[in-house]
Order: sequence, then C-alpha cells, then structure tokens
Amino acid sequence: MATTRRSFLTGAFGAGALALGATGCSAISGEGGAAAPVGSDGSGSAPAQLPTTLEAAPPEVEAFHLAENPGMSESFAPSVDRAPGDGSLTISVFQFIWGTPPVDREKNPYWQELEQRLGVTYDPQFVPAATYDAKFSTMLASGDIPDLVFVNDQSAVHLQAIREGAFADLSETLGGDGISRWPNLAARSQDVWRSSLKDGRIFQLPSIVWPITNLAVMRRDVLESTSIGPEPQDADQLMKALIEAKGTTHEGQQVYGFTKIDRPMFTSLFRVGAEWQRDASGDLVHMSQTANYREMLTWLAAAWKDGVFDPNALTPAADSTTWRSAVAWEAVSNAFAGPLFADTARDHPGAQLDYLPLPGFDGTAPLFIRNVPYGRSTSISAAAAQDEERLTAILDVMDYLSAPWGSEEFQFVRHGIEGRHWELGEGGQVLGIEEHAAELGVQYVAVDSGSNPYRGHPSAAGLAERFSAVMESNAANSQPRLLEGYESASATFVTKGAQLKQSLEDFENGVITGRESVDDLDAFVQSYLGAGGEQVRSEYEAVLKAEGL
Amino acid sequence: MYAFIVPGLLFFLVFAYLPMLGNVVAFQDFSPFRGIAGSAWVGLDNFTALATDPEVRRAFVNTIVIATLQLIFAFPAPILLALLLNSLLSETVRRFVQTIVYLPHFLSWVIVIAIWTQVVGGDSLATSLLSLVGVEGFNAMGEAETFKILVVLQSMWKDVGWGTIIFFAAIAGIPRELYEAAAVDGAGGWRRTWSITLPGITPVITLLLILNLGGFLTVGFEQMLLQQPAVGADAAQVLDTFVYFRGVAGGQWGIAAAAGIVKGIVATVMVLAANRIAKKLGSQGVF
Repeated sequence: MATTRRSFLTGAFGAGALALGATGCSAISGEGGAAAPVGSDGSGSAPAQLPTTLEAAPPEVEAFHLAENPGMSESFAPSVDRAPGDGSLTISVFQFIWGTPPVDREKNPYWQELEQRLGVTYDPQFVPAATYDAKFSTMLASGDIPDLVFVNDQSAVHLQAIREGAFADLSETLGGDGISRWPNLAARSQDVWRSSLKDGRIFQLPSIVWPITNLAVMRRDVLESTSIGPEPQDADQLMKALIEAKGTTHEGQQVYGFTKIDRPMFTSLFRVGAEWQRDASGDLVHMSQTANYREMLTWLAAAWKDGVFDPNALTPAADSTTWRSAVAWEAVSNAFAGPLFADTARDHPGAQLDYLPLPGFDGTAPLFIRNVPYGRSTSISAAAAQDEERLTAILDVMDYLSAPWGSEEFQFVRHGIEGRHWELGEGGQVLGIEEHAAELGVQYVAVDSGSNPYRGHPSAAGLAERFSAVMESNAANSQPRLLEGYESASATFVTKGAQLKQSLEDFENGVITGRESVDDLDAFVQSYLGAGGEQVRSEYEAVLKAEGL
Repeated sequence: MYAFIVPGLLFFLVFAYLPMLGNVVAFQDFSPFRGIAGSAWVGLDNFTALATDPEVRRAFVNTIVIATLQLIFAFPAPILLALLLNSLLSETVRRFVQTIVYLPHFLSWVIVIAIWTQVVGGDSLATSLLSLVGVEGFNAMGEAETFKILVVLQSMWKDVGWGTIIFFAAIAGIPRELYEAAAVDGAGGWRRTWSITLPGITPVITLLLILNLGGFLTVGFEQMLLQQPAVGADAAQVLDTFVYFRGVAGGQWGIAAAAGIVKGIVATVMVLAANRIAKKLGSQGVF
C-alpha cells in the first residue's frame, strides 16, 4: 500500500474519528502483578509468569475525547517489522464463521494476499457459528487438532478440552520477557492475560475487550411523548413511561417498551450484581438468592403483564430492531462504533435514538458488572507446539493477525485490500465495497491487541459528548466480577454450567411471561443449588479463600 | 447378482452400523479429546444418573405425550387427506390442492415457526382480528398448557401433504375394475372407500405405522428447541433436546449417549411389538 502511515491514519480515521479513553478501566488494570489463579483441581503446574506488556508507540491521531477515568492510554501499537515466512509452512485453522464461507483461495485476492504477507499457506476449515460446538467436539474426537483453534472458554466442551491438554501450554514461551519477540501479542495489559489463565497457565491468546460493551438506548421521541419524559428516575417511572409508550405506532408498526429480554440491562437497573457475589455477611451467594433479584423478577413480570414487552420476544420471529423498542440494550459496537443511529434516522424518519442514562430501580444509581478483560481467544494445538520452530512460526502469524488498530496490518486484516474491498469516503470513513465482500472472512482468529478506547463511527461524531457522559456515569457505577479469572476454577461449573444456565433462564422466562410465579423463587433456588449450584458455590468459595478474596 | 447389494450394504455398514459402536461411550466418562480408548469406564453410572435425574423424567413424559398425540392425530391425517383428494373429480383442482399442501414440507422449522408466530402469536394476524371483537391477550405460541397440541398441529400443517404421496401411490395401485364392479352393484362413494380403498391401502398403512413407531420417541428436535424459550422446559423439553443440552452444550456425552440408547431400546421394542401385533391381525408385517 502506498499510503504513508500518517496519511493512512488521518485518511481512514482522522476527521471523523472519535477515540474515547476506555472508561472505568483504571479499576481493573493492575499492571505488574504476577499472581495467578490456581485451579481447584490441584493442578501441579506452577503458576505462569505473566507476559511482559510492551508499551505501544503513540499514535498519529489525537483522541476526540479522553475519559476522565485514567488507566488507559489513547495510543496505538506500531506494526511489526518482521520478514514473512518462507512459504514452506502450512497452518491449519479451525475457523469460526458467521455467514457463508468466503470465495475459494484460487479466486480470492484477499486470501492470496494474506498468505503472501504471512509467508505461509493458510488453510482454514470453515465452521458455521451455529454448529461450532458440535463440530468442535467432532474435531477433538478425530484426534487431528488444527494448529489454530478459536476457543470459547465459556463453553463446557471447550473448557474441558483445554484442561485435558488438547492445546499448548504457552506459559514458558510467552511468560515474562519471552513474549518480546511478538510485540503485537505483547501489546495487551497483564490483566487480560491474568483473567484468561486456566489453572494458572496460559492456554489462550486472548483479545482485548471493553469493560462495558453495552448501554441503554431509547427512542427519545417516544419517551418524550410520555408524562415521564426521557429521563426516568427509577424503575416505577420507567415502567409508567413504557406503559404509556406501548400504544405508539411508527410506520404502521407498534413500538413496544422492550422487544427483547435483555437480562444485563435489568440486572443493572436493579443492582443485582454479578452471578456469584458476597452477601452482607460475607458468604458467597448466587444472584438468585438476593432481594434485588426478586425485585427485578417481580418488576419484569408486571411489565410483561402490562404489555411492555413484545409478546413475541421469546420466539424466533421476534422483531428486535432497535427502533421498534422504546428502550433497548444496545452494543456499543452498533450504537457508537457503528452507524446504528445514522442508519435509523435515514431508514425510519422521525425515530430519534439517544443514549438513556439508566437509573437505579430505587432512585439511586444502577450497577453495571464489567466484562472480564478478554474476549475472543485462539489456542494452539498441543501437537503443533511440540516443534519449537513451528510454534514460533505460528506465533509469528498470530502476531501479525493481532496487529492493533491504527496499524497498516490491522487495516488489511480487518478490511482487506484498498481499492478492492474498501475505499476512503468523506471524512476518512472506511467504506466497504460490497462487490468483493465475499472474499473477506478468510480468518477470524485475529485477537485484538493494543490500547482499548471506544472508537466512534464517523457518523456518530455528533454523539461523542453525550456518549462519553453516559458511559462515564456507567463506568463510575460499575464493578468487576468477584470471580474474574476464576470462572473455570469450578470443576462442577465445567460439567454442569450449561445445564444450570438453561434452568435459570427457563425459570426467569417463566416468571416474566407468567407461567411461573415469583413466589416459586425460593423453591427454584433450592432446586438450582441441589442440581449442582451448591457444589459450584463451594468450589468457588474454596478457590476465593485460597486466593484470600 | 448379489454384487448389486454391495453399495447399499456398505452405506448401512459405514453410516448406520459402525457408528453404533460409539454407543460404548454410554458406559464411559467420555471426553472427545481423550477418545474411547482414553476415557474412563464407569459401568452403568450414566444410566443410574438418568434414572435419578428429574430432567429426564420430564423429558420422557413430554416425549411420550407428544408422540402419542402425533400418532393419534398426525399419522392418520395424510390418509384422510389422500382419500379426500382421491374423491375429487377434477384433476386440475386435485393437483392444485396437492401442490399447496406439499409446500410447507419444504420449509425449515425456523420459517414454519416464524409463520405460525405471525399468524397466531402474541402480535399477529389472529390478535389483530380478535381485538376487533374485544378479545385481548391471545398468544397461542406462548401457552405452555396447550403447547403439545400446538406442536401436533404444526407437524400436521407441515407434513400432511407430503405424507399423502405414498398413500396416493397405494390408492393408484388398486385395480380400477373393483371400483367399476362396485359401482355396477350400486355401491356409493362411502361404500367404495370403506370396502375397496381402505382395505387396498391397509398393507401400506400397517407398514408405515410400524416404521413410524421406530421413530416414536423422535418428536422434532428443532421444533422443540426453537419454541422452548417461549413455553419453557416443562412443556418443551423432550429426549432429543435433553441429549443436545447435556451432550453438545454440556459436554456430558456419557449421559447423553445413555439417553440415546434408552430411546433406541424403546423404539426397538415398539417396532417388534407392532410387527407381532400386525401379524396376529393377519397383516404381513415388516419382517
């Protein structure tokens, strides 16, 4: 690409770019620590030394707004200056895809360019998202594990595979300064590594993720038409506004209070807290055992009964488009980093979206629970890692794919070839070229690195002040999970987590829709604890005690 | 001559009989990565766990109830439709109706359920019409109490047309002379249907009934999974969804396989019993 680094950054992200320092991160950073969680299974391996974090070079763009909460830099990591492989290596990948597989290699300039840049033959096996878990098990059973595998460590099946040794323990290779050969992999803070450890060891290359990824969005025009207005002060006012709002129609379609049951929004509204938390006497309890949880269910059941929810909210035919909802729980990637607001204004004239400062149910503040600091992860097959040279080459590839935002590599990996897959629009906006979009999606193992601000879509420039104000408030009212980094430390959670989650969701749906009563909550809690919840609790308690938490 | 059976034999060996060997995982604490050779043997522990798991009891009861309803209502429906269509004189009308009733078979369950939601769901055509006469709050897709009936109706709507194909073929095989002779003897339409058509297709009905019983406990995985959030597991957890949640989602392959074996045993017993009963009643049976 002929574009210089400066012109590239200015052109692609300059005029319309909004980089907000990630709010609330200071509380969960924690550089320099080395202690790692220890598994409940008494793993004999010593805790890994956390990889050293390499400071990223300052970017050549200035942030539009920097959050008041310190803790994150607005800078971006530099690209890597390393010769690609010699083409002799083939890297197999168990490749997660959301849609249709990309165009074949022979007809795919993106794939060919990727291989040229990496200096390897990149050989993905495309697996649809809907069947990924099932195919993952089949892949494991085949005994032939690809070099790179996308891993979702919230899935019992994936977690089991990690613990049984399907993937390489990278602790010795990446721990401490060992990671310095791969500066893009090193451009992530230690809390990202720490929270992704399994039994104290490094099995995953984790990506960075925002501490808060969603926020409440409202139809300002709809709420303004109610007697409460666009800033309800508590749950009662919100309910009153939504009941009044439910009669609204737009373009001949009814606007509901909510079109989905977005649990995190309601747990934030009712200050329910994390799934496992300490009660007033210091005991570890499940959220369903708290008074706030009961309040939340009671409120949701009343809301359903009063027609606040779309009655089809739990069916596959639910229309969950944001503009049909007076209040929605929306991903920042859509509502600020994406063009949701601009698209809605264009496609549905009169529908005014705005960020909603979510109140606390009792007139105090809400309580947001932060994400664990890592998102997508990729693991390396244990068999591939036995050959040190091969492992190094694989990590070289991952280092390239992990290039941070602002680098030339990132732009290629994420958007493709300039002129074929994207071009710069007005204000430096990256415009995808639909004609060749089917060539992209060859890789999805890229695990983001670098700094972690919220970066706004150019069309969201006018929203920056409002967005930052709401997110500052949300960050100030957020807290990390007590079990951050320890979720997998319960062996029972690994085997029964999916079953427990299903029973909890089923009960919640039942209470909300009226087929069960909130009066059954105590009986449900007993059943939940008896079905494995109590075992999970005691295992977590033991780990937290061992860690002095 | 026998060489012609080799491809079919190979097909069944590779895709039906060899995979059955995998049922040994029902006696293991199976892990896909460790494989059959590396997983610990646990004897009948998985079956004991099944017997004591209230979730299994619920799934089993739901499965039996839905399967029975389908047997009573969904199985005879294509026979009745085939007889009805056979009585139509106009070939054009018959073909038109056939085409219309075949179409839903080619829709996936996601589409079928979306259509039903739009027609009888909470915010649907039916609610709009009912609200005109003052009836509010109707949502057939979210009622746990009537869910099993809904499931049967959906199955009938989707597959009743497709099911008529075989019965039409059987009806076409009945000699025309029998109808002509009956007509000469003064038999009306009902009498011809009762005394010629139905006896003529009875062997096919018996055959399909026995084969159907083989899949008695298979009551529609996707159909259940998609609708479970709206009506709850109490109404929509069946053996197939149980196996999915425990095995694919939960990684408890041993228990999931044990449930599959139990299901297979029940199906085998039902097929054998039905075959024997059919023979006692004078039919040929399947084997």
